[in-house]
Amino acid sequence: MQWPADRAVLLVHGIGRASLAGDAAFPLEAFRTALGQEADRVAIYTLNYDFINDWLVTKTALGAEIRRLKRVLSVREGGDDQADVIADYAGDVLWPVLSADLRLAVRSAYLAQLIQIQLDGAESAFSRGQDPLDNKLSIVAHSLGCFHTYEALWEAATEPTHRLRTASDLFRLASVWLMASPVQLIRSVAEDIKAVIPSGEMLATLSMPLGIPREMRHSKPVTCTDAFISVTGTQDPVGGHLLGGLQKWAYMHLTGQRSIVVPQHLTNVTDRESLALALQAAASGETALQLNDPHSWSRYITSQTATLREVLLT
Amino acid sequence: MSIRTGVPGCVATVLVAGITCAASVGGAQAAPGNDSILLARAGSITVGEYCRMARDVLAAPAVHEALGDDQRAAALSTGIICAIQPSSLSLRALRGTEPVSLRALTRLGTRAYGGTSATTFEAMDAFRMLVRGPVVRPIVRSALGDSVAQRLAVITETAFGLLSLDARDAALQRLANYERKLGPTSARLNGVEVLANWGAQKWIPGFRPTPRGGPSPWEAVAAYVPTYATVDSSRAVAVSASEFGLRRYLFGKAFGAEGWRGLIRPAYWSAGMLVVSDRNGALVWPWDGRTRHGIFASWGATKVGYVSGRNGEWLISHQLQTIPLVF
Repeated sequence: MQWPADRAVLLVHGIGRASLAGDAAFPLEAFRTALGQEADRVAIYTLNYDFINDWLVTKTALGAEIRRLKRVLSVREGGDDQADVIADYAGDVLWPVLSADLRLAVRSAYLAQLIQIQLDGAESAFSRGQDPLDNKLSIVAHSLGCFHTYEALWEAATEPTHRLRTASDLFRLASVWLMASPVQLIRSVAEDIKAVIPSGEMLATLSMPLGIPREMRHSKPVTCTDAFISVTGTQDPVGGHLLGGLQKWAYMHLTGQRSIVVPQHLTNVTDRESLALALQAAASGETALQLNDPHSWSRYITSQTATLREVLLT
Repeated sequence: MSIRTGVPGCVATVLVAGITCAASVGGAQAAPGNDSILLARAGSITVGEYCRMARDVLAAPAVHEALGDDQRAAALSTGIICAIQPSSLSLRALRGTEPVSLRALTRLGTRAYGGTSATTFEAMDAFRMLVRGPVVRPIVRSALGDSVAQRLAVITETAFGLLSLDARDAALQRLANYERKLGPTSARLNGVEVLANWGAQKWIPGFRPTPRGGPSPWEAVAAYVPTYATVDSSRAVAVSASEFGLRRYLFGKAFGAEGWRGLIRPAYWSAGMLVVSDRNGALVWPWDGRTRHGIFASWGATKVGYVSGRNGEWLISHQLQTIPLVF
């Protein structure tokens, strides 16, 4: 693929009930609209990995384990009937921790795509008489895609064979956007059931303190980007909020990240019961209430138009 | 605007070679063959040119000063690059992605070639990091001019691009192996096997996937199979058996075929122990009555078994899951 200019963006989708209500596809129109006329100068890549999930669901029975994870999440959310609904909605982002094969397969796909983007960008730069190191690549991930992004970037930054280390291979990103990131939520819930998680030591989310992916060079950290941006909403349980309140155990807060919390006002949602109803409706795709989905990727992008333009285009 | 769908979108059908097919999956513009452009350029840049460029860059006083503590590392890398003979060898030939001329072979020696290539490319990688990093790169441009800086970019990024191609292909190979083990041509697991394999991955190193190696080719087999058949008194009869053993997935492009080709080049083979009741029939509990023991082996979905007792019996079956996640 030829880049139209020196910029590219990789969109990484989420998955699960919370992501399938309206935003199953990549929100390309919302993204193009946010970038305006400049959108034509940005190469847009996408990373699809849901077919890997399908492999595993077909091959094995993960239902019982997923229910166990959701029970843990429900207890953390309060343990009542509404907590069950919230856990059901948010809990679909948890299950990749249960399969080492799945995590590593997605990671391989992710790394292959990053390398391909690098190769495309280099050839495009040369064709314009420019230096590939002046290229600007950003990642915009949503929901479960944030978890896979976090894992892939840690692997890229620390493993020499991928040729994607931040210092040694000069692989630095212009920006990384994690929208409604469940990384902290996954870490907290997985800690509760650590014993049943296979190859937990291979999970950056679990095996070390959370932080922006980086490589150490001359004892100094070189992070994967200078602009690591977390965007979540005040009503989004996947992003660590509930009824306007930040839940420390579920909200991702990495040292050095730029944090944006979007105020969300959901029609007719004032208590846990009405939130549970709204989430249930959003997950089932009921049109009337879908507009109230606090987890919508399109709405996150639309809400960040100015910041996206500022970071991606300058 | 051009859009490219992700690599995985085409893996199921194109496997390792399929990275450029992704664009067509998304209905977007096709990739113009950046690999070919990179390889062609790598065929036109010689190790000697890399060596001369590296020496010229390090000879610039401003660059030398900017390198600081990294001066020795840069000089060492340059020394390794310049030690390659003949210097007319192209980067592509050194990497082993094009035939090496007889002249080059006779001077370089085929035995030392592989190790020399790896060491030299690592030296090029290190040199790139040192002179193309955010601190030194602008100094190279101001000290040596735009055209030299751009040529340095072309040379160093081309060598690095060859390493990146290998890294991408390795990642795609791992993904293809995961598809072989988890995808449509793999064997379906029952509930017991899910638990057995989960335990094996947790406690037995040989069953675990690894970030660099990909999936383990091994899988535990623990199944109730009511679909064996044998010939008893000149009549074909069903036999139910329990299987305990191992399945090994066959990675690589040559295997994993579907349809009739899958009979010859399947995705896996398996072998292990059989437990069979002395009462033949479908849906018979293997431990019902006097149990007989035997062995089974499969090549893909085709299975053959032999059990002792009576006069001994040959069994045949086809791998399938009649009730999902049960047997």
